[in-house]
Amino acid sequence: MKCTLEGSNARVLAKAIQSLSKVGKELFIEADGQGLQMRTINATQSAVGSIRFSRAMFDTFQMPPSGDCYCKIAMKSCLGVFRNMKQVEHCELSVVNNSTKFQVKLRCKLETTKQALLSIVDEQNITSAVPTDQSVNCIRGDFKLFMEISNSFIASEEELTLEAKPDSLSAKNYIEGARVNDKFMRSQLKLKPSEFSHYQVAQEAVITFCIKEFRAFLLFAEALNAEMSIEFDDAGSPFLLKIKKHAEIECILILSTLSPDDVSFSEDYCQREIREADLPSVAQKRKSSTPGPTVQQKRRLAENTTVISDEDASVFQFREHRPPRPSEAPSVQPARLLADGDTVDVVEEEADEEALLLAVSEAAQASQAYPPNSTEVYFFETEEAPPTVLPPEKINDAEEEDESIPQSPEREQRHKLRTIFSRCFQNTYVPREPSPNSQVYAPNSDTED
Amino acid sequence: MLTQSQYDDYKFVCRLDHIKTFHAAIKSICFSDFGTLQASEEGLLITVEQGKSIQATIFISPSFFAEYHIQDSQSFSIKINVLAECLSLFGLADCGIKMLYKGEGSPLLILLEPHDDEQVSTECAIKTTNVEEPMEYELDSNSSSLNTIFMRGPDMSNIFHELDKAAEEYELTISPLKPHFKIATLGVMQAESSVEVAKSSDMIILFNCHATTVAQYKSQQIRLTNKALQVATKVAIKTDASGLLEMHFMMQSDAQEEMYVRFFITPLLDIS
Amino acid sequence: MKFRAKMQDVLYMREFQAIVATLAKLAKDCVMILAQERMHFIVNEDHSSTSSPLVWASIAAKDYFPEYKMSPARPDHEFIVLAMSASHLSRSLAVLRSGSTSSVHSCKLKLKMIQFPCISVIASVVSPSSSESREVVHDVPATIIPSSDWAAYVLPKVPRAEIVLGLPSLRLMRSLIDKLKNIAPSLVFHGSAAGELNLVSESDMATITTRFSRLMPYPATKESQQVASCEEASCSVDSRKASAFFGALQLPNEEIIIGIDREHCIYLQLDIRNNVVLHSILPAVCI
Repeated sequence: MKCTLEGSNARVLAKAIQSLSKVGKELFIEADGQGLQMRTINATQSAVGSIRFSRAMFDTFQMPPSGDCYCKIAMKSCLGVFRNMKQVEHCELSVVNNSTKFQVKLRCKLETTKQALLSIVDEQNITSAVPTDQSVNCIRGDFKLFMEISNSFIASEEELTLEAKPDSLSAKNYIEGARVNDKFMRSQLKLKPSEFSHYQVAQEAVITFCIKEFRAFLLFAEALNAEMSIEFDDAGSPFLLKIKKHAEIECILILSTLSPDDVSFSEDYCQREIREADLPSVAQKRKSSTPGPTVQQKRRLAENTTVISDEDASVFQFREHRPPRPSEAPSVQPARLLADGDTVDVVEEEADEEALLLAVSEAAQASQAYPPNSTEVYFFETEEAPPTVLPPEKINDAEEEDESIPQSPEREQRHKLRTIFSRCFQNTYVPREPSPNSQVYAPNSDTED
Repeated sequence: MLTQSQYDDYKFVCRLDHIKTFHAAIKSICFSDFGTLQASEEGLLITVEQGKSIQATIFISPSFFAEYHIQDSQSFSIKINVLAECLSLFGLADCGIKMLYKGEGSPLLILLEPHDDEQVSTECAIKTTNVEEPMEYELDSNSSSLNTIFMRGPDMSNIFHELDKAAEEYELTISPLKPHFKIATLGVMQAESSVEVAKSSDMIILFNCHATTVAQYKSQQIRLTNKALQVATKVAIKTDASGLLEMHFMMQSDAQEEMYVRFFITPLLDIS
Repeated sequence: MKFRAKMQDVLYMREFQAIVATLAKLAKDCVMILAQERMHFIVNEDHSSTSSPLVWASIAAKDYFPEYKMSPARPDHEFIVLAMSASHLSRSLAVLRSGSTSSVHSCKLKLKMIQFPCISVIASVVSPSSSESREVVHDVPATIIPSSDWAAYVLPKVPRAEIVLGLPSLRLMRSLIDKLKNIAPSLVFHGSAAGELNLVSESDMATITTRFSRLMPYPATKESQQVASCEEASCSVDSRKASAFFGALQLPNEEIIIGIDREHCIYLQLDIRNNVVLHSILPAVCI
């Protein structure tokens, strides 16, 4: 594979890599008859980003005789090459040294040439099987508008919640009715549909997703000075962010969203004015760890996005194949979908026996309708997914996703586990930090105290 | 303020109307604890060393100063970062500066007067210690392998700034044939990179090379030149078959007077 | 217990934001004391461990808030006293900042109960990309300090001083003190009734003396026992605390008043406007 592009287009490519680098640690590059596509997946596998450049972006575009071409390289080393593009006049990308290196040549102003050889970590690709054109709700607007939403929340914020109604959109850093830490500042921004260029919310939805990857792509929309659209159905199903610039650049970011089952709600957590007349003394402060009103319905809290080890329940799945290459370039499909497994696999000439063996298993897999030569990411509707059991090592991940959600009820499903603090696992139990003030808002009903 | 007659007490007095270039030069060599000041009729030298592998020297000719008085030759060492700290006391505000030295054992006095506020002035007394003789490095100017390149400072700065900071070593190649001038980064996982500048490039003012020289340097030492590079208008690079690297950074004040910072960096031993 | 207040004037909103931003640079937490006529903020009231000085601000509430309603928990109470994160409060007001591209119609503060008490900051904002106004709401979690504990949150008193000087060039002072903290841990303020202030920083390696001359002398608020030496006073303070105070200032004011109470403390006062004052006390340290 070898392609060349002129300076200003190379700068766009560099911006794309910079945005993708804020999502994942590895960059998957794929060249096919349609152009070049770059993808990445984040560490918790809750986000897949893809940016496609059409052939029209390139001055020359040569495919290998064997058909399409893909590789995985380390994001960090790639980022270093594309860091400073101001001086670049011409850029050449190629796969060299028997497909072991990805070569970047930058011809710069003042007769300066920069060259980098990046090791190809793997001939591997990822695809996502999420349908990307069927969302009920679609909101489109200038990147500046989304920038203002993003900037209303601090950099360290992890999640963003959108409350979409036919006549209003609220962006929040919390879920209405869900309990938050008593040091946590709730923030919200209320927007009107008229601020967007397209606003279609057919089905009211409250969706929560990671803001970091959202911001990464927003940055690219800014670089392109483009409109951006977000598409989604309801909580728990994927959230899509799309950017299109003319016909040349198409981006899509797929984010998994928090399932409503993972959040505990309470009337107690809604806003009201303080009416209590006077305050008890401070001494009582320490004791107020007793549960408040016990209205919670604590349910399963599998953070769907982080589950990967259980095949049946996971949202994204990885399936790795050492790739023998297909003999022909893939046809016109814009994205390689799940059903796209009908390509014929032919072992490349230089491939060794091992690859041949793999090809056999590959063919077997292909018959099960998995696309060859790629690591696939499947997306299941959460409702259809069987109950999830979190593998123990994943619990921490889930905690990181949302620290305010207690993990304990999850363990109930692991029948072999001896319960020690059994009361903690009852679904009426609400762990609470000591109340920040000294008032007791409900009479103490716990006889132990 | 001191009058002319009071200078008699002092072995060395100099004055600058604008602190900016001097401050930038001092900051660019602040990579070690102590610096040595050597003042003579020829001018002022300030030298900083780290180990026996890198040395930086500021050269300031008497004409650079608004006033310059010297009795005999004076040399002493001071904590260089204390000097840099004193010069930065008023931040970005432009100051006039006067330095006075009474002789062995006395502190170096520095008087700072911000131009935009006559009601404020500062006097710093910096303790001096006995001088430590700096190392002597030299390139053989008669060597047939002596290669010299003069480059425009800002362009050179761009190139150095973009070098992969993860690299442990940089390899410099200067050659009469292509690639003329090349810097390669060595020792980075999963990536090798290099940058080449053709001798016909507009950033190269002079390219004088007869034989190819190749040498490796610790990237960390090359990066110690960054601050000097950032403010340099012109840079000279000299090396020969021994690999010793000599770099000159020319700094110009607003009044167009010149000041030089010279670096010597020793190459890594060729183990092969 | 109720509190609500509303600002509408752009300049006042920015000034209020600048005061809170200054406090947020000085400490993690602040105490907000709401009285009928005034609103006070205190940071570092227990000025022991931190490298930040005790600072308090007193605001004539009606100046900033044309609407200002405060009803204490009990009719015989004078105040509502709240503790909260200074940075949260500052962030909630960030949209009022002078550099911000959005214009703000109004900003309301309300005491609310959600899961815990909060000060809700509700700003009505018009962004450059849209003609309609949007509501931006931040709920700053607050702790209500019960009246039994109020004794610990009394507003500090302005100390008396032997020498009081008005210092005009805050800009140079800020940069100077920031650098001096790297030279030595303590910093001597030496003032004279003739309008001179010397800042002396001394370490093993260097002695740095900076002279500010022709300053405006104010009448002393404390007569020294030894009448003769009343012409001069000096006090050594923690240079990090001094630097923290000057570094935190977000207000555009140029003049600051420095009072020196010999061997006791340095007192700093920034008059933002009539009835709106920022104060700080830097206690003396042994050299």
